[in-house]
Amino acid sequence: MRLLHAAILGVVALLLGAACKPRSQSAAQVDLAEARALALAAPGGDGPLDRDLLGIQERLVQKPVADDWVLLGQTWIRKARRAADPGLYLAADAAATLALSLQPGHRGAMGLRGMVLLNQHAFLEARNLAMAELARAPDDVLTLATLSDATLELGDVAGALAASQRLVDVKPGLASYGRAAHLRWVTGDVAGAKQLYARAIEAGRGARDPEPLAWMLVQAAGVFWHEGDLDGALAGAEQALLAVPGYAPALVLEARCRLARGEPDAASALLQRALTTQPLVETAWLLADARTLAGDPAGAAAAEARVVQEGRKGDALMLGAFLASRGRNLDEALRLLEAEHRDRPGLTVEDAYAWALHRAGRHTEARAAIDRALAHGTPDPRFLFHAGAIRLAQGDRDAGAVLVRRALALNPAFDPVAAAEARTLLGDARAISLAPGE
Amino acid sequence: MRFRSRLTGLLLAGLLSPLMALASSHREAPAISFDPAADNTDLWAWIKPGTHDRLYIVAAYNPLEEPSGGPNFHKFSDDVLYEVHIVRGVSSLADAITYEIRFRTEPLTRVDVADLTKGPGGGKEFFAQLSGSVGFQKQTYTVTKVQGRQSTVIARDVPVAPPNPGPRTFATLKALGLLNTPQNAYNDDFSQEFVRPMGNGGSEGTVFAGPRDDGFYVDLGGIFDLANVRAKGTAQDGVAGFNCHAIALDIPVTRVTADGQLPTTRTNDSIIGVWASASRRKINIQRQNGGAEAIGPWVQVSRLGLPLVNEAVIGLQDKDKFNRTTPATDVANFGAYFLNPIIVRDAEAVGIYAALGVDPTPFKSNRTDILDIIGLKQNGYNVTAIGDVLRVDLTTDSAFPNGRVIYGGTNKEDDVTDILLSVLLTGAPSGVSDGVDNNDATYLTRSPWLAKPWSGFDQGHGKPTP
Repeated sequence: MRLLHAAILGVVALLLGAACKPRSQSAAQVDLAEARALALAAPGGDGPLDRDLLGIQERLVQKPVADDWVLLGQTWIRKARRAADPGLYLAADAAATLALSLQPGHRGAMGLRGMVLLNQHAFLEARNLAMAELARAPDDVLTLATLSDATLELGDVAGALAASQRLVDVKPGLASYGRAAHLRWVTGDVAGAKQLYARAIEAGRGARDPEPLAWMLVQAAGVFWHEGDLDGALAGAEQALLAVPGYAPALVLEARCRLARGEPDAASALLQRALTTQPLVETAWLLADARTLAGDPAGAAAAEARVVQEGRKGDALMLGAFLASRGRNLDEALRLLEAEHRDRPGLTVEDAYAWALHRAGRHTEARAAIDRALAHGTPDPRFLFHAGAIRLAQGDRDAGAVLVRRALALNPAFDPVAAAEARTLLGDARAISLAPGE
Repeated sequence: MRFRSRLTGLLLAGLLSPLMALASSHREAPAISFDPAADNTDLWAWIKPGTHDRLYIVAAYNPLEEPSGGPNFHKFSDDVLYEVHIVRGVSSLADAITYEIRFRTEPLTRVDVADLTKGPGGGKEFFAQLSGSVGFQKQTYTVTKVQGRQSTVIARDVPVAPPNPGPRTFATLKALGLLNTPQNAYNDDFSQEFVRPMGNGGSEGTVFAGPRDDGFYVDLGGIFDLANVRAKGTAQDGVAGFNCHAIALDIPVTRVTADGQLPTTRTNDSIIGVWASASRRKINIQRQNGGAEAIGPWVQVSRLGLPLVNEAVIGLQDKDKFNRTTPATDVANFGAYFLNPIIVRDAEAVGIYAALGVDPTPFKSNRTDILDIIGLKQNGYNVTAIGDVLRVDLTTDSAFPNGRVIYGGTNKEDDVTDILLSVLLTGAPSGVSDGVDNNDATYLTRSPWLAKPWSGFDQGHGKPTP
């Protein structure tokens, strides 16, 4: 009944928008009518978030208030996260537009806009908007979170630390503890990261929308995964799945652990489930690996096709990383990653870019990029493996072997393909280093 | 993207370019989250009628707590500092007394899952009510009274009342010897077992902490539909059947006054103000290696004095700021919201004033009358320190806005929704009603005042399926 009601309201709003358009309407008016239709679109579900959306929409149809448009936009973003549907960010942006049309410069609306820019990977624009907003309102919580995320993606770890510190000073809670925890991990403090994730998780307990809690559980489990603690990682994934049944990021992490334990069939099933709700490139990539290990080359090829298909749709970073890892289409990989590196030289991009350069035989540039990726001591076995392999390729055998060994010591199964490659390299490195003296 | 299919083709044409720009990743950390364990929902404070010698305070947290909330039942947070603040006199909003309440949960013991000789209990259990030493994981708390520079622990390791999942849990825990009580059900006498003394021999009063019925009643749907109030009978109690987590204090008034005496005549010092808050720790991100030294001071993340101020008076863009500041700076920070209540403009826009034949102009701005009412001018006080605290006149029976009273043995509290709506919309203390006049449970005649928690088994918000 309520769904139907909102659907009708949405249609009425659309019709009203169309009927009221004067012939000489300005572009801005057209935009507002479209924004209205988008923001008031039916949520299409029957969960608590859908009921929240419907309630706010009904209020807004009766009387448009800037605060309510912002609340609506925030709820659309929560729904986008819960449903793993980035398309819903459009509705959030539309709500921001409508709030700003009523109250230019509305802080909440600008905060929403920043979050939408982040989701669109317009990190520079997000950072610029956040900095302009913070000049007006230095303590705005959403804007501080946006600034932290955007600066980190842009490769400015110190800037992200400063913004997150400000955020936690202003509002300790899941959002700020979680960012602090990630930055502790990025800067090499695993024990501190675990403590802060525990705080973030604790602060997320009992909320009606459990997605933020599930997210934090998976992030925390990721720290355990990176250091090869499969029990710890699996426990976190399991808790996240209790909080949000079928939560795709948790399924992916569980699949990684299963794969590490030599259960490629179980991993494949989990990854297929994850892909149905959240078609991410890295999930398809892992599925390809799992199927290869399960002796299903045709299935693996299909998953690799999916990697390329989803990657070309909108994830240049992961597609570039995939191609570099496979040593395939290196021209395309380099082109993609050069562009990513120009737009957002964060640590993950530096690492992927370094690996593509290495595969293309450009070892000096690769070395510079991987050193930037590791400049903060991030304990990510992939970074360490790449750094070691690049040094080996440069002839720096001792330092190279040490780094590759560290990667494998952290997590012997950090990646099904790369870990095997790491072992092969170590065999070679030993052979080479022994050869001259024998 | 499923969203696209829900839009008309016409609309889609105009929107294609932004859609193309959308990345398909979804890796951003959440920025919007709610923190129910550190969210104040209600505050009651009143003095014992007639004798005026006891001050009753109930501070509630954790909004709209679903009774059937397993497997992880709602609880107070060990990481949160809960506080009840008391200010004294007409000219100060500084804490005269602060009650600090900190919780601690016993860790679960690890149990070998494969060891079939082990009985129920420990970390192997799926059912949380079988995992701890009292069935549930035992949670206790400590109350510290802070006066000036003096901090005194007045209650230590007090047990928190357990959740109420249902009759089988109660019976099972009792049969296993985990619940040590003569009671056979989660009844009012069982609840009383968790009312404990503060100070030597109860010299500082009593305290209770645990889940209770959410004692607020309000047509949430109506109010937040732009004050779309409905007649009694059609109005809906949006809080009905939900629980909250409450801290109830029952304090001798002589422990609150500056001179330790019961005030009998009205003076500048015979009025107090009460507010409650929740705080979490700052942390130092850059400190390495996770030591305890990385944990910083407390930052307030929620507070509540007068009902509905945060919800119906303070604008969205200032809610975070409101929650982290104290009443002492309210006039400077948020005075404009009190003087020019936004709800009046909303009510005008949806035709409430037109329907009543009332001119809203006088109620839109310069509402010093609101400040007078919350400062108890009508009781003869000239309060110069105005902020969001619940004022209580210690010399006369309480009735909102002089305190906020739970009338034990009935299903009535002060109908703060009606009173506040009336004051905000019409300047008079009555006349507007949300049509919800009763709580859905009967209040107790003593601490913790709020009714026992709704049972998860048969009083949750689920519905039977055909």
